[in-house]
Amino acid sequence: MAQLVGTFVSSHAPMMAASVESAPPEQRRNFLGGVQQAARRVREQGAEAVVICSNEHFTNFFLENFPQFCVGVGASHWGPVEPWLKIDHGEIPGAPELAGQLAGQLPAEGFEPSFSHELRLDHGIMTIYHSIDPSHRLPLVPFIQNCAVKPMPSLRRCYQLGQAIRRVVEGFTGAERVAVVGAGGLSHWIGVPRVGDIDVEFDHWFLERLERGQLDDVLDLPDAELELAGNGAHEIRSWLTIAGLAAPSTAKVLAYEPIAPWITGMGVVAYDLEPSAAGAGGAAAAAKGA
Amino acid sequence: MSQYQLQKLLYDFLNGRVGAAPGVRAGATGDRGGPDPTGYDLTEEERAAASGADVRSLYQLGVHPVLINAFARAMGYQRTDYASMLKDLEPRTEARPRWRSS
Repeated sequence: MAQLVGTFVSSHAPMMAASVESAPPEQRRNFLGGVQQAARRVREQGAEAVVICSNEHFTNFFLENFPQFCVGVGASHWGPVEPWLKIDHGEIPGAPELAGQLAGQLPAEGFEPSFSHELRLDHGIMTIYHSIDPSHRLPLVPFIQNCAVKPMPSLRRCYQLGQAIRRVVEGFTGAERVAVVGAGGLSHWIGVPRVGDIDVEFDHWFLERLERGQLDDVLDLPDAELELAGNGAHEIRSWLTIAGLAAPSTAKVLAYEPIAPWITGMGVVAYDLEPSAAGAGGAAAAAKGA
Repeated sequence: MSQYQLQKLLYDFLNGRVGAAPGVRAGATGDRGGPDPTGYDLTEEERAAASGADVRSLYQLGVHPVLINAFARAMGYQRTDYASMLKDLEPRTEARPRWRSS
């Protein structure tokens, strides 16, 4: 049975790899310091594979068939797709047994993700994967989520997905230690007139609730209200997936900086998991609304 | 209006399945055209917006913001460029989200 290690979530603005120097030095130092601290925990705790939950940016899917969730089950993946991202481009090893366990066992947990043997990876996953393993040798399962195209899965559904992912990964016998990580958000606007704005008040409100483990207000947010923190704020679905996975453990904020040149509220949280919480306390929390 | 076809054209262009419109100079550098709309079922307004890389018109025609962002970048525009193109198009809202304290 696999143990979950190194659980964390981070924002993933492409500029953190494409033009890192564009951020004010202190903000850059604080945010990237948080990312490095979280990534180091994954390495030091001996993860043999990593599952990264992040959102689709029309990199793999278009509107003729846009999955709410998709597991990358391939033996390898290719990325990053953005030629301007300052990360080595090439093949990333997959973890097909673990991915197959997720695709095969999540239906019994009430989730039916699509699956793909040929996923391409963009900044959403690659910035965080590269932070965890700059050598690109750690086997990766990309777990793509729809955080952009309406209708999207509800926030509560994403939280429950995290609980289900935990049960499946903890039942996996092909590795002893697996990291499950989230990437996306926080507040930002993209491709719209308000591009460049950051809603610091929303970011603090959200992070405080993650720290307290009091998520009712968040999980009940209608999409129209969430979008008042930017159309990119829908990416908190990945944060809530990891919050569900980690429950009843609560988040520790490692860093938060509203980095204007990166047009995003850039945060990092980490979790110290209590054993097998999702199977007992986590499920109970979801049943009563987290 | 053929919003789906218009978005598909941009998606195909971004993924290298469609070339630039011949004889058009558009984008930040003006060294090539936007996508060649031949074969896509579009209105004249949509064809002109796509081939001319008219980001403002594409936004008004309902192209998804994630595609707007990627397309603008592909045509050489910085975010500040397209922000100024779209500046007056933000819908006004009186809505007050629950996280706003004042």
